Amino acid sequence: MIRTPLVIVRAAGSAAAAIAALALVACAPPVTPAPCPPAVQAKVKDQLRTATSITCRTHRAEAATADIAVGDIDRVEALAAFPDGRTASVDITTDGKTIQSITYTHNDLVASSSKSLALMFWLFAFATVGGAVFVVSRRNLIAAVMGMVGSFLGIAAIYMMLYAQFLAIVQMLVYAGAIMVLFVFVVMILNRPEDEPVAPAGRAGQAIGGLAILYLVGRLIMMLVRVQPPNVDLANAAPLPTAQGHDWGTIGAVGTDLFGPGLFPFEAISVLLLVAVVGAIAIARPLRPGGDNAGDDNDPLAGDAPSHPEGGAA
Amino acid sequence: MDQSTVQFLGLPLLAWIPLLPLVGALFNLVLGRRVSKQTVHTVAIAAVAGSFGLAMFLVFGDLLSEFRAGRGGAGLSTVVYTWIEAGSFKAQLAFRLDTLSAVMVLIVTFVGMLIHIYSTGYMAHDPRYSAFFGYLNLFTGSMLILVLAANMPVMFIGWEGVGLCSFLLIGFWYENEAFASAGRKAFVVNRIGDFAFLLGMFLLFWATKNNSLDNGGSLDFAVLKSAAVGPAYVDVPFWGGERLAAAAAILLFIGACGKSAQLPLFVWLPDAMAGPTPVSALIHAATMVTAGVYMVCRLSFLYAASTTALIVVATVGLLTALAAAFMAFAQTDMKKVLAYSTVSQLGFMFVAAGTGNWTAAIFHLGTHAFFKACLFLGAGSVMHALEHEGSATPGDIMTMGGLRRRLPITHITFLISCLAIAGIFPLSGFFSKDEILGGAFAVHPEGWPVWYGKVLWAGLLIGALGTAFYMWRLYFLVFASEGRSEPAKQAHESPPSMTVPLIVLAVFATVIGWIGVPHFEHFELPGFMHALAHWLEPSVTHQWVGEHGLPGGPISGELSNGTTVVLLVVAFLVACAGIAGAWLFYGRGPSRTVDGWTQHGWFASVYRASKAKLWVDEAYDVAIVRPFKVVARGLFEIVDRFVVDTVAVNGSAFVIGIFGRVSRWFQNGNVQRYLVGVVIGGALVFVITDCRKKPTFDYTIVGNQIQLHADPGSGMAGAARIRWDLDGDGKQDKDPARPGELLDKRDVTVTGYDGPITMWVEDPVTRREVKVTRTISLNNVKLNEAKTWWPPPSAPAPSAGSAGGPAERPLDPEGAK
Amino acid sequence: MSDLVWNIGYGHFLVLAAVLFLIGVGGVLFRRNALIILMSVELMLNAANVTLLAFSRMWGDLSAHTFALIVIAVAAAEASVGLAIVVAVFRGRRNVEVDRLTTLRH
Repeated sequence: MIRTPLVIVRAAGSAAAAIAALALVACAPPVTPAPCPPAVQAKVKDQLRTATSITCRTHRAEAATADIAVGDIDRVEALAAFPDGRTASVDITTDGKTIQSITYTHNDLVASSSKSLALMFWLFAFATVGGAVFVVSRRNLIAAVMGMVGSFLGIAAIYMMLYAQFLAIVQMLVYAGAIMVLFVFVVMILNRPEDEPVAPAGRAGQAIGGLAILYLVGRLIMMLVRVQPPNVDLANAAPLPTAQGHDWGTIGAVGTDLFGPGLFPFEAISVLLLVAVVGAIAIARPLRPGGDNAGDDNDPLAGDAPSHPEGGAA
Repeated sequence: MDQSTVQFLGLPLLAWIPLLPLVGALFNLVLGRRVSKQTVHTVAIAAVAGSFGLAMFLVFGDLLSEFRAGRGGAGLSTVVYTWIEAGSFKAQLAFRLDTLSAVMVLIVTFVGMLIHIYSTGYMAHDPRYSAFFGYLNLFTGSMLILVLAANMPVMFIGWEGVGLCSFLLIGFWYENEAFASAGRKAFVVNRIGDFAFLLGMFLLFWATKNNSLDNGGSLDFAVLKSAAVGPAYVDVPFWGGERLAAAAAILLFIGACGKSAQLPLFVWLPDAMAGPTPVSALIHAATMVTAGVYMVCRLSFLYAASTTALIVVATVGLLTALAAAFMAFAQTDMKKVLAYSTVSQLGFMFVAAGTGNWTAAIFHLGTHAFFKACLFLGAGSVMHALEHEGSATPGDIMTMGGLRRRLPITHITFLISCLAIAGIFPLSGFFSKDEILGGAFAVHPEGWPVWYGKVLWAGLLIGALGTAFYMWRLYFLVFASEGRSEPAKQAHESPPSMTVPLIVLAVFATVIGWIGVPHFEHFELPGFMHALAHWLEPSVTHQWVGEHGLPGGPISGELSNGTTVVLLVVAFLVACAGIAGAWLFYGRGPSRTVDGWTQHGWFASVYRASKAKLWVDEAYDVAIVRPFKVVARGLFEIVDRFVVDTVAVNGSAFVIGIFGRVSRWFQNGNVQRYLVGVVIGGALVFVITDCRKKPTFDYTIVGNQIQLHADPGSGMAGAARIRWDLDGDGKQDKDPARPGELLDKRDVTVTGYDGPITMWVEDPVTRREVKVTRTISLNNVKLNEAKTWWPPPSAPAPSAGSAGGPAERPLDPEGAK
Repeated sequence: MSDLVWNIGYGHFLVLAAVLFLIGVGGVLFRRNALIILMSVELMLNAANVTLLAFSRMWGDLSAHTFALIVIAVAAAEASVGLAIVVAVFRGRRNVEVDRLTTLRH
C-alpha cells in the first residue's frame, strides 16, 4: 500500500528533472562584456563558483543628493554566465569602499525550474523522512521493512538531485533491491513479525536520549534557517564534466575514479564481501545435527538430521 | 682567638667536649638494651668523665695561658661548620671556651659525673637502665652545647635540648599518669619561655643586621659584643622610648624565667620532682635551671645597656626568692621542699644578675650546684633507704625522723649542705650569698632609684632568713628526734656508689667558697681568694653602657671596709637566727605548737596559703588551661571533625561517589546506553557553541569618523535585521538613501559624533531583538559641527577615509550582506 | 523564509541527512528488536552517504562517489553478517530482543 505512492512520486520527480534540464539549455540571454572592479569580481565569483564569465556595468553616483556616497561608483551590475548558457545578473550597491548589498536575479525559466526542483526536493525529503519514521515506529516488522524501502527510494531521488546518478541507481539496486530483500527473508524466518515499538526497559536512558535527539533536530533545522546558504545557484548549474570527458556523477566518471585512484579500496571491498559471505554462512548455519545451535523442532533451518531438544541456552 | 690545634678524628678537642656525651647517649639509646648494665654505665660515665678530663685539660692548659695573656674574654673558639647561611644571616656551629663558659663547663661535667656514678646505685633495679643513662648523657651533651655555644642559635639548640631531656627524664616513669603529666607540664611551660627567647633572638638579629661587621646579621656573641654593634641596640629607641636593648633583654629574660623557674613560669619545677632523684639533682639543681642565669651573664653587655631590664630581672628574682621561700614552709614532701628551695636560690642568682653582679651570680650558681646536688642526692639516699624498707611514701618527712643514726654518711653530708645553704661561715654558701647581698646593697647605675638597692638587700635578707628556717626544719624533721614510722626505724645506709658522690659534693660545698672572698681595702688577701672575680672579669661587663655604646659609670659601687664587715656579720646573724628558729620549733620533731597555730586564726590561713603554694597552679588552671582546653575542643570539633573529616574527606569521597554513580550508569554494557552518550555529546557540542558569539559591532576610527561594522553573532549571519541609533537620541534612525525606511545596513559610518551608539539585532526566526550599546570617544579629535552618518557627506567632509576617490580604486571586499 | 523553501541550497541536503541520522539513532535507542535496530543502523549509514554526496557536490570533488560506493558495499556486508548473527541467536533463544541478551553482563 505504501509502495504505490512512492513509485508515482519517483516517476514524477524524474520527469520534472528532465524537463528542467531541457529548459535550462534552451534560453541564454546575451552578455555584454565589460571590466569589473576586482573586488566585485572576487565577491561574485566566490558566490557563483561555476560561472565562467562575469562582466560588469558600473553606475556612477549622481552628485545631487547630499546623502549619496562620494565615490563615483555606487551601483554595479554584474552578469554571470554559466557553462550551460544560463546567466545570472548581480546587482551590487556600494559606497565606493565597501559593498552594501548584492542581489542575484536569474531569468524566469531558471527561476521556475528552480521552483519545481524545490518541490521535488521537498517531496522526496518527506518520503525519506517519512519512511525512516516508519521504520522506527512500526510494530509490524514487515511494515517497518517497507518503510525502509520507501526511505531508500527517496534517498535515491535525493542522490539524483545531487547529480550522483550512478549512485542513485546503485542505491536502488543494492539497498532497496538486495539488502531489503535479505531483511524480508530474515523477517520471514523469524516468524515473529511483531515487536513493541518502544522497549519498556531503560526509560531513563531513553528519556535523556530522546531529549537530546529532539534538541538536535530542532537545532539543526534552526541552523538551516539562520545560516546563509552558500550557493544559491545550486539548482541551476550542473557541475563541470570530469577531465576524462565524462559527465559529472555518471557511471563513466565514477568508474574512472574507482578503477584508477580507487583501485585499492575496490579490491579490498571485494575481499570484504567475500569474507562477509563466508562469515554469514558460517554463522547462520547449524554446526552439526544436535549441536548447540541446533535449535528445537520448530527451527525451520535445522535441516533433516535428527536433533534432540537441547536446553539451547546460548 | 686561639684555635685549638689538637684534633681528634678531624674535630678539635673543644668540639669533643659536648660530643662525647652525645656519642655515649647514642650508644646507650640504640644499643643499650643488648649490652650488660656494666657496659651501659661504664660507657655513660666514661663519656662524661672524658668531657671533664678534656675540659680540665683545655681550661688549665690553653685557656689559662690565654687568660694570663689577657685574652681570657676571647678564649678558645672553634668552628665546626657553617650551619645556616641564608641571605644576610649566617650561623656557624661554633664553640667558645672563655672564662665564663669554662666555669660552667667544669661545674656541669664534674657534678654530672658524680651524679652518673650515683645513678648506678640508685637506678640499679630499674628495667630501663640503659635509657636512663642515655638520656642523662644526652642531657649532659645538650647542656655542654648550651654552655659552649659561640652564638645564639647554637645556644638555642642546647636550650631546646635540655628542655627535651628534662621532659624525657621527668616523665621517665611514664606508666604513672601523674609523672607523665609532670613531664609534659615542664615541657609546655619551658616552651613559653622558649618562644620569648626566640623573639629576643629575632629582635637582636633585626637590630644588628645593618650594623655588623660582615654586612649581615649575626648572633655571634663576639660580634654582638663588639663596639661596632653596640650602638645598634643602644641608640635605637624601641617600644615606649626604651632602648631596643631593653626589649631584647626582657624577652630573653622571659625565656630564662621559663628555663630557670622564676615567677611566673616556675610551676613546672615542683612537679618535676616526679622524676628520679638523680634527675632532680642534676637537672633541677645544678645545671639546667642555671642555664637562664648563664645566659643573662653571657649577655651581660646587653643587660648592662638597659637599666629597665636590670630592674626587671632583679625584681622578678627577688619576688621569686621570697615567694618560693614562703611556699617551702609548709611542704611535707622532702623533694618538694628542696625544689622550692631551688627556685628561691635561683631568685637570689637573678637578683645578683639584676644588680650587675655577674660574678656573684656565677659564684652562687657554682656553690648552689654543689650543695643543692648534695642535698638532692642525700634526699635520694634517704628515700632509697625507706623504699627499701617498704615505705609507701618515701618522701614524706612526717614519717621520717631519727635517721641520723641509721644513715650516718647521708646525715653528715646533708648537715654540711644545710649549713652551706643557710650561709654559715666558713662554708661556701656564706661567701656566695654575701657576695650577692653586698652587690645589691651597693648597686647604683644610672636610672636606678638610689634606695632600690637597699630594698633588694633587705628583701634578700628576709629570704635568707627564710631559707635557713625551712631548710633546717627539713633537717630536724628528717634526721633529728626519733623515727616516726617503721621504715624510718629500720632504714640503713646506701651503698658506696651513692655515698661516695655525696661525700665528694659535701667536701666541695665546704671549701669552694674560698675562691670568692670579697675585697677589703688596704687588706691584701692571698690571690686565690679573689680568683673567681679575676677569672670572670674578662668575660663580663662591668661598665654600664651609656650613649652610643660608650661605657658609662661602673655598675657596682665600692663598699668601704666597714660596710662590708657589717654586712657579713648581719648575714651570718640572720642565718643563725633562722637555724635557731627552726630548732626551736622542730628540734624534737613535728611541733605541736605550730600544729596548734595552724588550726585556727590568721596563721592558719597563712599556713594554708603556703601549703597550697599560693594557689598558683590552680589559678593557671582556671585562667589558662581550661579556656585553652575549651578552645582546643572547639577547634577539634569544628576544624578537625567537621571541616576536615566531614567536608573535605568524606565530602570529596561523596562527590567522587556521585561521579562514579553517574559514570556507572553510562557503562553498563548496553550498547543502546552508549549511544545515548554519543547523542548527548553531540547535543552538548551545539549547546556549548551556541552561546559564544553575541551580536555586537566593532568600529575603526578614521579621522573624526567612526566606521562601524555590525556582527550579528552566531546563528544569525544571513538573515538578521539590523537597526541603528547613531545620534544618541534613543530612536532608531532612518535610512537617508531610502526615505521612510529605517537604516539597516551592516556597515555604517558616523562623522563628527562620539557617544553612545546603539545597534539592534533582530533574530529572524524568534523575532527577538538584542540591543547592543557602546560608547565611543574620539579622543581629542575636533568634532565636526555637522553630525552625519552613512553615507559620509560629500562636500564639507574634513576628514580622510571614505571621502573621494576615483572609480578604479579597489573596493573593500569586506562587509557582505 | 520563502527563500528557504524555494531556493534549495546545500544546507537543505545536509539537514536532511542529519535528521535522517537522528531518526536512525532514535530507532537504535528506543527499539529492542534486533532487526529494527539493524535497519536503523542502515539508516544512519545512508544519512552519512547523503552528507558525503552533498559535500561532494559543493566542492566538486568526485572521489566522494567512490567513497559512497564503498560505504554501500560495506553496509551490505555488515547487514548480511548481522542478519546471520540474528538468525543464529534466534535459533537458540527463540526471540531477538536485545535486552534479553545479557549473559555476558556481570
